[in-house]
Amino acid sequence: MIYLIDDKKERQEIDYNWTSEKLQKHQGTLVPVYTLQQIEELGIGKEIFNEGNVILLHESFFDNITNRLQKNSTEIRKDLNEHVSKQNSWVVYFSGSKSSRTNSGKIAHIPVSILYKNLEMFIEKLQNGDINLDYILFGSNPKIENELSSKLEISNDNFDDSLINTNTSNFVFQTEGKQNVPIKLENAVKEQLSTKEDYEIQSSDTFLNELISRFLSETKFDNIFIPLCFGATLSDFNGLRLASMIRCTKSKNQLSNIFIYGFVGVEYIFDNEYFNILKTKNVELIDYKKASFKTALERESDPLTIEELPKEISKLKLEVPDHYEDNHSIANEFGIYQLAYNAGIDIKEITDFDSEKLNSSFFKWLIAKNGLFEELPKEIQEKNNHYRVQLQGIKIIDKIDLSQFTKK
Amino acid sequence: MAKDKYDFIQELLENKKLKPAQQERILMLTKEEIKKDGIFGKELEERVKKLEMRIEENKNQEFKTKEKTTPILKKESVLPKYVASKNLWKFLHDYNQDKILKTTCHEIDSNELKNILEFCGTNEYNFQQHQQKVQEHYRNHFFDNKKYFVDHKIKNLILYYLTGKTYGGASNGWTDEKIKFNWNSEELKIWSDKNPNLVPHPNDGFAKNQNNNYGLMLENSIKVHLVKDNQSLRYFSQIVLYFKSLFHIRFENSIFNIIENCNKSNHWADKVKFIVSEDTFPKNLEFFTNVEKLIQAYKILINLIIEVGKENNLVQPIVELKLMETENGIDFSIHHINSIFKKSVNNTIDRKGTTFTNLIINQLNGMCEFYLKADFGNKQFAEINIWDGKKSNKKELDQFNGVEYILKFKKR
Repeated sequence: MIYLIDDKKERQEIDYNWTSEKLQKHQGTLVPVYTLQQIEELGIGKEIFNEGNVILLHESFFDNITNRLQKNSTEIRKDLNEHVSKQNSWVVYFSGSKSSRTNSGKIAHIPVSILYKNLEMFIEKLQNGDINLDYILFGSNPKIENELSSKLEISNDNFDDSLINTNTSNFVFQTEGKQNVPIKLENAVKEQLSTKEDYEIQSSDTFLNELISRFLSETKFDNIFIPLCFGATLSDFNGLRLASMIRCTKSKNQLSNIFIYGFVGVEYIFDNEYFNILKTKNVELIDYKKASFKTALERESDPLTIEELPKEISKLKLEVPDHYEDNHSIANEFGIYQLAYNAGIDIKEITDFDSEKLNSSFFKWLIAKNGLFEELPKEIQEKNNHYRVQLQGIKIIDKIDLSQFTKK
Repeated sequence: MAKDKYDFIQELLENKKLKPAQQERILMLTKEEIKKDGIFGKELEERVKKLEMRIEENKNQEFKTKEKTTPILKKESVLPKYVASKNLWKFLHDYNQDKILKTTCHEIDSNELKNILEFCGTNEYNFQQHQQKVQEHYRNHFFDNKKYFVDHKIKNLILYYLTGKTYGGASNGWTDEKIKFNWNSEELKIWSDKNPNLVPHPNDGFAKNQNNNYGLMLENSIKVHLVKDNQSLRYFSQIVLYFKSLFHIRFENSIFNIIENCNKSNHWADKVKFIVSEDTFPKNLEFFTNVEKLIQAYKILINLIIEVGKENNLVQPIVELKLMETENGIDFSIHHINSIFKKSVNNTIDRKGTTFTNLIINQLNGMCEFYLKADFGNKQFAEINIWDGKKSNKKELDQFNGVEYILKFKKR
């Protein structure tokens, strides 16, 4: 059982979206506690300390005037630490004043934002009998996430944040929150890759697609800078996917230079599905340093053309997404898309076709590598019009009166 | 003739126009004069002692009237009036718990916002109002509160952090890193004018509620090195948390990590062999103190160990560091294992020496008690209370290995 002891209900609900409904979903595993009185009412004062339990305690819970005990909060935490050390149970202290994550195996300390971000995943793991506090500290891949988050922190500390002057036009995507890149680029447009929604949505194809249409469809930029890591899980290396989506989405910036800035080398990202985007023209992985941004800005490159794009995009090899039953179903849907395209029909006019699929990185990739985002050549458009007149479809001449026929 | 000389000195010292620093200087010269004359009669000794005490009282009053930057004194100075370290613990603990002042050392979330609004008696957040309440409350309930008789350095550090000026009007920054940014900074004012009703130091979750606004991002980041080497503070939120790390020791801001950082940035690994283990130096001990002064004291003692080693051609110092919880607080021990204390027991009791005296004046007084446990050579082993508010005395030991400096942080 997990006991979530947090006196700050508004923070839980409003800031971190752990509403009553969401808590209810986990009621067999998670017990939320808001006051000392509640512990007494529920009669769980002793149960909390049972073997196998995990206590998630807001560090200042016992400093709150309504929850004060004879012992002060420091002494209570000391007792709790001793208790969990002696038996098979765990305690996680969280607070808004914590900025780092530490885990000694049975006792962990984390910022409140990290607790609520990883709580759902931690519950899932615990339900499968996998108790490891690192899951609540770093999510599903604790080892690599720990490594990446400390590398990001060091890179930010070492970043020279003095201004870079440039004559080029630039767009810089930044990670959400306080660990965004401290780059100062003259006249650059900067936007954070963030949403008010859940952390998971933050790196969805739909969200990335929205960003492209919101920020990259009106103004043409020479260079687009993208962080290699963003979203809930740094080791997803979502920057590679965003770069792929920009290349595969028809927009004013489809052909702009793309620089993906990362604080780890290619050895970390070789096996990422979108790795090959780095093999395409004018997409480059650069170091997380001011000097690398500068070099990127000074680089004179042969621009990518729309004609070259399908060949370049073919270097990317994407797998059919899991939610498709097999290759046939994707072939059928793509077939419909191609037919509509060749006929000059807007796919959105076909009512049974789920046009939301067009926002997925996989579909965008199929369209781009087949060059289907280009306007049909005038010659083909004219031929289509010519044949359309001649092939007017089925004509109803009359009805057959079935009553004239008798069964034998 | 000699008697007239001393009367003159006494008159001089009693002159109210003299500042404590000038009185201190005269007293030092007096001591030299006494030695020269070979006169050290009881009566004269008593007179000098009384004068020393009076000067110290004046010195302790001085921060009320004038900001004083204390240079590292080259010569042995007069010891100050004892200030108990438990006062500091309580002062910082209460600051950290205070309904409105805790918002200056924590990021703000939905619950905290409610508290601020309640405290300010308003329905909408306004930074200027929040800032004004914080400043007023600190001055009235902490800075000027006689209940908190603590070292003025920490009181002034907080005053600067909240107002941009010390009591005496000095504005050269807080901490040794001379951080100019404070709650009164123009940058913060401009930001809050541009972002009315938004909190400049939200936590990550609350930032989402203010349109993904993570609060004030500084025009120029601030580099700090005390807790973590080369740390960049770019957001006001980070400054607020850094401020807290300067007085609240706990698991994620452990002395263990801070000391490790200090050893690394001073490149001591090739000069000193440190023995530190998490068993004897737990990271989870919590206490309130002036972290900057604590690290300064640690540096002074390690440098002393290195110097003593060099001067006496000793082998590489082996230093064991320990942190222990006691009934009354926390003990921090710096134990130079392969050494002998170079002064006799009695000499150490009679004269603290320049290093210890300056250490007491500039770092330890008001922060912690100071004990020395050592092998004094000639089969003399003893523990001496160098600075604990009582007269220094020896406790003889049967056996002791090396020289151990113990800093005792008292909570009661």
